[in-house]
Amino acid sequence: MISSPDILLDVQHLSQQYALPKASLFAKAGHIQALNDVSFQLAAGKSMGVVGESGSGKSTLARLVMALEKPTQGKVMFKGQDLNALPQDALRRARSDFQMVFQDPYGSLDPRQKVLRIVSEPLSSTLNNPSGQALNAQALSPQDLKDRAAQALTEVGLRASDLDKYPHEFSGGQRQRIAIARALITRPSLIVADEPVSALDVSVQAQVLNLMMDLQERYGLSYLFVSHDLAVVNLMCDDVLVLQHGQLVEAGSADDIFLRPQHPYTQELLSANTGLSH
Amino acid sequence: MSTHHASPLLSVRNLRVALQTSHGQLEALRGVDFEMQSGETLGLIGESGCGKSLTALAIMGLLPDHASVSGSIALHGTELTQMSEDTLCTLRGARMAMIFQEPMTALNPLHPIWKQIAEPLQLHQGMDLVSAKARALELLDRVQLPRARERLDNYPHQLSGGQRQRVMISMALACQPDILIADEPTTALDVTVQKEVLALIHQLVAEDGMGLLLISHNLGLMRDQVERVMVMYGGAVVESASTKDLFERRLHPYTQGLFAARPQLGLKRGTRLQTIAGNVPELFNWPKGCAFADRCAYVKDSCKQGLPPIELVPQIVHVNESKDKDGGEETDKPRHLAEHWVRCPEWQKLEAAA
Repeated sequence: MISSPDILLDVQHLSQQYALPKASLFAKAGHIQALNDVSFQLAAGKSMGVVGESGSGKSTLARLVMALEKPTQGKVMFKGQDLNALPQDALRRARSDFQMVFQDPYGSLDPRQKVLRIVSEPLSSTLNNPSGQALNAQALSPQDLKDRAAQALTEVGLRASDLDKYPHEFSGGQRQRIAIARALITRPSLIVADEPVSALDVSVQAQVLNLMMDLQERYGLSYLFVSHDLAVVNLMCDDVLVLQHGQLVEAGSADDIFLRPQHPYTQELLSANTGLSH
Repeated sequence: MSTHHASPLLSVRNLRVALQTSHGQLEALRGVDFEMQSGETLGLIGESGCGKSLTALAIMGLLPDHASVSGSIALHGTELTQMSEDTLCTLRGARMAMIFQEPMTALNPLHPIWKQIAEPLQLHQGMDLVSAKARALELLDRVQLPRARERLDNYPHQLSGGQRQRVMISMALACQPDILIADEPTTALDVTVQKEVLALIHQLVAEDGMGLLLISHNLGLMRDQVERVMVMYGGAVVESASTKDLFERRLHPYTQGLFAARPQLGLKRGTRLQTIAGNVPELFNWPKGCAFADRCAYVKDSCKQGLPPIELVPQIVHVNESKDKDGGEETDKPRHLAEHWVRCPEWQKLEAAA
């Protein structure tokens, strides 16, 4: 397996099966092949878009890359480490280097926690960063945590005074900024974003997309960007994976996929999108 | 349904809705005016909180208890705002019907779908259960639900999102209403399914000669589905035009901002999108005048004093279209359909800049 140094994420033959409930007491339980033999590589500082309809396996792929579940087959190699082979505490430490932004800014922030706690939690829960440098949460004083959180908020265009507020005091776009600040605070190399702007209005969506592009330039981040909106993926991503029923049906540079789609499913997606893009 | 009524299908005049909130009584609709004739399709576009859905709910008489309505809503000349709930019930589902955004929650999970389609038929047309079930099957066939006969006894959870939305549409059409209100009917669906469902609504509305009020935040969708579009912002309609004119001219600063902000296929990777400065104001924080005033590059003092009045935009007369210049009206469309107006005193400057 070739693994050049600038390959950040190397996904090898990834498959995931979910068991279905038994239809009757004596029937054999069926299963669903949510993802079937998907492989790709993502270079540092680049963005990979994942498109497909609901049920195509987009979110399953995102969850597997985030090591939120174990695949039935295949490997997720992040910076040369097999995430699923890592022991619990090593994985926990490694997590500071890859973070996630979810679709629903109303459901992904704990309504009972203040922004300070929401944004600083990845810092305090990942204990040490992967380079071994002591970033122990106990060593980080409350003031340090607060400073880092304030800095993260400023980077996403919010104010340090927002740290003492609760999520309900913010609009949808601001909440998604808070979610991005939470992902950024550990200085990750990779952010997995699962439909990060789908729940936002057009004008707010533009602000958040611009912010994500700015942050990528500033920090050399990589995005694994899951979206059903091809125009957004075209804007944000260098390369694109097209999933259908858990299969990778087409992969290539964004230009190739959007200008010269080969697979009939990609062509269908594209024609559906051109009629409907926002 | 091709009978011509003297009064328009739907006439909404100076519709205001005030909501009782923890910040006191707040006006969430600030005087909405429009008219629809049978067979017309009208789109209502804007971002969350601008009053699109509130307009729809006011027409259907489904506003929450803490809302108070003033102004007039008339269906075929019959005033709805003063109507008792019992009388409204005889109209709702029969003369006017609505499709909601969430096909997952709008259907009752405890009843098989045929019963839910049969309910308006029993209620409004006095059908017995057997004939209502037979009619439900016809309706499901009409909305092209695959294997409709087998699915009659299915429960909503056994259907996909697109299938559920088809069931919703068949319920709305059961009594052949005069007007169909579709509030973000495809937002929860996959893009390829969206296209199918929209085509279906389009076809059925045309077949029955219904009026369609389509609500969406998606500009691209409007272009293919409706003849006329109204853009809403901050509880008021800020621009109204034929779909073609709106897409070509976009004269209100908010309309322009909305069009510029959307990502489009073909943009170069990394292109920054144009954004509208500032945020949508909260309801309790709405400016006295134009709700867009604080975000507008063309703002004048008068914009902050009160809601700018409607200004009529003269039509651009294309030479090849005007066969008879002395005849005045060169199109065969009703005048108000072609009318283009905008709530902005500075629209001429904007057009010159564009």
